[in-house]
Amino acid sequence: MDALFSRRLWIILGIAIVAAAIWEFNLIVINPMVNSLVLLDKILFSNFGLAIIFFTVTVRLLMIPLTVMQTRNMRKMSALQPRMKAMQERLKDHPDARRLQSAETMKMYKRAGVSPVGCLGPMVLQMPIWFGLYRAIFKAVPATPEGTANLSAILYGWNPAASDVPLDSMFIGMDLVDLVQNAPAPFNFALPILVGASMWAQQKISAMPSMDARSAQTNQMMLWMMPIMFGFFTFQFPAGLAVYILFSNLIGVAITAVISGPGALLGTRFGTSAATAAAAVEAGVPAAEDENKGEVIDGTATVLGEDSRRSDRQRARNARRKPRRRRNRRR
Amino acid sequence: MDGDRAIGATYDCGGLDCEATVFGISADTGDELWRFKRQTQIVGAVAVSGDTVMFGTASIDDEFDTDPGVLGADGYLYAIDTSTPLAPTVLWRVPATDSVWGTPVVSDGVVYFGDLDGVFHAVSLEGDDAGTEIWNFKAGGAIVAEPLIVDGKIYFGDFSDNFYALDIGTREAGGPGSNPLGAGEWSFDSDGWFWATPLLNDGVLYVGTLNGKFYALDPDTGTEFWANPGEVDGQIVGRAAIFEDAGSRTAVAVPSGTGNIGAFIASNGAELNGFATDAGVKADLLVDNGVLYAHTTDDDLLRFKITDHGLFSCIDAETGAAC
Repeated sequence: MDALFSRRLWIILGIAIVAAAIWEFNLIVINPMVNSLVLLDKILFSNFGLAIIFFTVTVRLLMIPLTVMQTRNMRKMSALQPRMKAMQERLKDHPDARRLQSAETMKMYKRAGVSPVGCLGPMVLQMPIWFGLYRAIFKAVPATPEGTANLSAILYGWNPAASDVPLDSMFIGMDLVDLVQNAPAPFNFALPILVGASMWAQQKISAMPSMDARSAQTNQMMLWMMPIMFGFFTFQFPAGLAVYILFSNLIGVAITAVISGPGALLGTRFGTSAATAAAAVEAGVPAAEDENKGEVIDGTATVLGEDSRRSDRQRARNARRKPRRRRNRRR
Repeated sequence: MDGDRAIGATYDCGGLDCEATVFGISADTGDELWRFKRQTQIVGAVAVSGDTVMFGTASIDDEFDTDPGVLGADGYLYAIDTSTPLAPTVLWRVPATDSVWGTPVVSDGVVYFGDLDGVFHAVSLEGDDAGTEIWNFKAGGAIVAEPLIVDGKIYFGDFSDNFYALDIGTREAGGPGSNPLGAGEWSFDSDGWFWATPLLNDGVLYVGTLNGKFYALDPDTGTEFWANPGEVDGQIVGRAAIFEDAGSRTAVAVPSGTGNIGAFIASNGAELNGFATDAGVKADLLVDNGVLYAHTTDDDLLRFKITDHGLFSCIDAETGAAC
């Protein structure tokens, strides 16, 4: 009950924060970020590139609890996939298939302690932060005199770095406000490649294994298409934005690797669960046994919630008892 | 305006590639007299001394920089000779430590200007020393505001919320590098950045900040005359103007970057009814013959009667048609 209340409280709190952030986006999100960036520029040797990197890394580190929550939920969802696939197969010919499948799905989620909102919620909470950071970078180093004048309304009076404006936007030979394509070599082509590569790594390490061959194919295509497209888009991005995306991806990969294990990049994040489960589903798991099979195949019972753990223990006890009875009979 | 010609500067950027143009046109016909272009930004206006036109720039695109003097500086003060209208030539240029956005001011053979690094420069215009820096002063923040020079004193504000009064005699005696404030000099700590040019009238110095605060200061000491500063809704970017209201009281009109033009009684700062505008005013205000002129950010030229603050004329500055 307490846990349920606590979860609801967190969801309400999250929604309230997002609503407030949207309502007063400049006041709550952008202005503090611009002030932080300007202050960091002063601390980090008047180097705005370092300020962007430090700020991006810090924000991502502060959001680790959200990332962990999201990753755990995704892992649970992933672990449920074989059983869900089997259940859908089992019920597909039922006259009321859709309703039953939906009810069974919700039951499975509940039993495993999975919340679909748990996957989406942290992502939604992060959205205003990323969007705000993107805008904050360009408000902190405006390209026009009008933008510079407007900074006076954004910077807090007590910010000791406020008098250092306008900031120098040069970073290792690049102008962070200028487009990547105008940056000197090798940055003009290295940045798009690095952004694309880091995005590929980020997607690869975060992707959920898919049971369905078609969606697996789509995922595989997206894994390559998105980074390639983004790499090309990067040519048209201001260099500061490219630096921000690059380091955001890199720290994202590092955080996910710590949470899920470095094997994730090699496609072995959940052990052999995905491949084995897929094979089992292909082979056709009997309907009555699919729940047990799912857990045994996954080897991820520890993430399936209290109910599952309890039934695991029960099954283990039963398994120990049976041979004993057989031995008794022999005597 | 300079005699029978108008001189101005403009710039246009595509991304970070900027092209600036300084031009002279005939006041009578509107015909172009000459044109001078560089790959840079010219944010402020020009200063004129005879045929010499001076203006501040950002850095010059190296690829096109063939002008005399130091190459690769982050900003310059340019002096060009316009005596041969078809081909203005660069007389000299002084490198600055950062871009020069402010308008330079000429007084007694010296040109004064500030840069974004917070350095205020005094450069000689005369004889063989033309283009040579006489002294400089390091302020606390970027200097964009056009300085006001009256009776041997220079008044300007910066981005560290400070407003300064420098004494030309004290500075010249100290020579280059004499940074601390000396005899007859003071600074006033406000709570906003200064962009607008100050205004001196009847022994009172009026200065406005980008957070909409408007101060009346003693030009000799920097102490405030009003108990509380006046306040307008938006940024104060343009210069204020003095007028006499219906009760023959001296008042000051203050442009606001986003809202109506504010008005305050000069003697005590009491707020009067302002001048209603549909858009902000970032240009200097002008009062002439009982009329207040304001150029809005919508590019309209407004005319108000100062007696009742009523708008009696609006002209679209681009087309000349009534708006």
